Amino acid sequence: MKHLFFFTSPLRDKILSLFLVLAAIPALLLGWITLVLLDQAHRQDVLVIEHETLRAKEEEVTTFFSDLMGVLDVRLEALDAAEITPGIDQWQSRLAEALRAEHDEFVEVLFVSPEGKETARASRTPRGGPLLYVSDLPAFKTALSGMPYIGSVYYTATGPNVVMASPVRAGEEVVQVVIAEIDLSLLVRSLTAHRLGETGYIVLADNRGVYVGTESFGSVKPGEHIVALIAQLDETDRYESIFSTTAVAGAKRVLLAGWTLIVEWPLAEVDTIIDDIREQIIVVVAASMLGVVFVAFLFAARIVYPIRSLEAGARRIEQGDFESGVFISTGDELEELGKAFSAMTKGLKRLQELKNEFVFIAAHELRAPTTVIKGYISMILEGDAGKFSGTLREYLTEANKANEQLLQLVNDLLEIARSEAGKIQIQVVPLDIRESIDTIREGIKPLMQEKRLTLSYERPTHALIVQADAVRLKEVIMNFVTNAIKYNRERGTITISHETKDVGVVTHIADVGFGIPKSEQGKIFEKFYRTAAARESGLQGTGLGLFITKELIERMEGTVWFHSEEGKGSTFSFSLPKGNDTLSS
Amino acid sequence: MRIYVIAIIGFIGAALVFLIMFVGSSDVSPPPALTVPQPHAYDNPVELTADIQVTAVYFVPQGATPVPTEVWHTLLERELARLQKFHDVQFRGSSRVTYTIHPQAVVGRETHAAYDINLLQHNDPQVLRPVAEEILDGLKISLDTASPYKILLVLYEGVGAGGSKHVALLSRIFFERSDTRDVASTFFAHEFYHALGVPDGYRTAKKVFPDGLEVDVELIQSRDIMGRVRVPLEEAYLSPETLTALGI
Repeated sequence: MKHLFFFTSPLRDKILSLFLVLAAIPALLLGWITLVLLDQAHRQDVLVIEHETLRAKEEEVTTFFSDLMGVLDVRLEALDAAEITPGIDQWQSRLAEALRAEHDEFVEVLFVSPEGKETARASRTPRGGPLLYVSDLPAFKTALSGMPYIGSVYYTATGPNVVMASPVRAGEEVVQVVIAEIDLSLLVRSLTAHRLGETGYIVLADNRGVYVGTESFGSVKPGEHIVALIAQLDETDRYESIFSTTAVAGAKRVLLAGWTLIVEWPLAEVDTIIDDIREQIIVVVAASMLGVVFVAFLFAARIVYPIRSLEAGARRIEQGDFESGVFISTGDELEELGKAFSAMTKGLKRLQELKNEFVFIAAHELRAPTTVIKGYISMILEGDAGKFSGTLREYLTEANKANEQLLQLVNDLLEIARSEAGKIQIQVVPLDIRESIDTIREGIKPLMQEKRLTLSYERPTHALIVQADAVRLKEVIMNFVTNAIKYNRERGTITISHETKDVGVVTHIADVGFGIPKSEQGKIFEKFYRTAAARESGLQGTGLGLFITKELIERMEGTVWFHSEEGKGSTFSFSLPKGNDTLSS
Repeated sequence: MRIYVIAIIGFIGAALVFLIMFVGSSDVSPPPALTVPQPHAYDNPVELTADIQVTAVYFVPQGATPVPTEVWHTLLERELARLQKFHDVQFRGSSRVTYTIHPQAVVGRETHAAYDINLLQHNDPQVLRPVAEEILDGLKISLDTASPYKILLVLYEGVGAGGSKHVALLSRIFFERSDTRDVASTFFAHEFYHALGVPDGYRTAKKVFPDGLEVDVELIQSRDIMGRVRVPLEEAYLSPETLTALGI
């Protein structure tokens, strides 16, 4: 599977990109839209719940003040002017006491004459002292003008309080003012006891933005200014709360008193459900993305893989392999293409066989007359046809060389044709490779002497048994050695040595000749390939020797390689499997 | 792999991260910056009162008979503790009162008459000066420090009450007389807040009756502890306006 993902393929990349863009972007957009809509719907739900809570609490606070104001809204209809003369305080005292008893929240109720003098006082706890002049008080002034008054919160040891005042009318005339101190503890406790969900809460601030509470809440103390919080609620509904933790909040003004109700609902609870859903959506989107990426790879690879198979098949044909064919099972046009390709391979194979047959026949037919020519030239040169001039000898010698080369080419072509036709018989037996080399050493002496070369053979003292065909092994060694002679420098050396390794017996044939340039080293075993230096040197050769040698070594289950440095020489090595020590007779 | 494939995969990854981090998640604002109270003397932001140090002294004019030490000491302890509590409620804990009670009664060099202290002049700073200077000289105390805000609180064995910047004085008799003992603590706190510079919450005005009779009356301007003293301390308070002038 690895090759499906990690090979380089521009086509795969293009398909992959297209697939990713077409599949991932819609999935991402869908995820984005879902999350946004979900968030908006959730926020709307929370706002509705908060709004309902605030509306209910605003009604409670308004009712609270309305009830108290209703109690203080005294209308004197049965009395005449003389009876309500300031200073006659009997009815005021009784009424003050009655009003105070009306609600537990009344700490003190007092009547004040239009001149500003207290005329009666009723307190929850007895209070002595003279009746005072209060005409400077805003509560008195406001109520005297006919308007109800609700002041700002203040704190006593018992908790938050507020002053309320209301005109006392006889007909339309304001004949007295009633001022009351209101204990807000019950109202505040009622508000703070309310819960929105499990952790949401209500906070009350007075008309100056002062927190109305009975005890500290978070970092906020009763009476502390929270104007900044109320102002912030105009801009955002989600913030780090000063009362608890991160919360979603809302506010509503209590119009009657000018006070503000604030509701805060910790996000930890508000977002519990939505966070779970959000998490699930994100997991689905993320999994989709991963799936898209994986499928995109798979999809692209599936399209590219058959094309790659065709490419590989073409390369095999290029290397002469007509057997493999191409097997594609995609069930579509690509599979048909693969079948057509395989059919074409069979056709090419047939053509190759015909060509080989032709080459084989041609080479075979050429070899007989070439051999005959060689025999006759040899006989002439040896004088069997009588004496001849020096010029004729010179010409015959050249003709003989050309015929030798032609014969070599014919033999090589015949060898290749046999090999490709599978007609070369290889009979592998255990044999001592030293003996093969010894035989060759004798045969190459004349060639060595021509270039005054020295052969150094590091002959092992013990037998080196390999699994090889005796004839083909000599052919292989001869080929390497004749190359070493041919491409060596004058007075150079040739060194033959052996190594015994796990893979088998390795034989090295090293020369100190031209060497092979790096750029040509990859082609040296190709058919008909000759290096530029060999071609330019005028040395005879067909370019088939190393190809045949390699074929023979591989047929004997060996391997061949070389190391060469231009100008310093080459070392050709080949390995053959080890044979057992018992030689065949 | 081509760079544009890596870029597309990177874009998808980045989009996923963006989706997880930002889309549909709560954008939470920082908490509001509430105004931190900086308590100070009345209408004087320079003299900070976050830390108020009271030195309480029982002062006996020449010729007057002191009550036993345990009586005045216990009284001072109780009233200072109540004052602390009241102050803590009114100042939301932003100002702290600590006190020390001088262990011995301080006997004045003059008689009560010579100090000329009376109720009608109780917020006149000049009236308190002879007593205050005599005590401060005798005890080697200085009230002129930037912080803490120092107050000399005098329990006076005589008749009278008064307060001015850094000094407050109240007759011990207030705690004994039947008409004042229930509200004596309020008087005590009232004078204490004079020592923070808070003025009275009432004024004297002329009341003219129909028969032409003209009398002075006290017209209260605030129902808080500075305007209306005859309420128990538990029901007294400092008005929002007064607290604003004190930096709360």
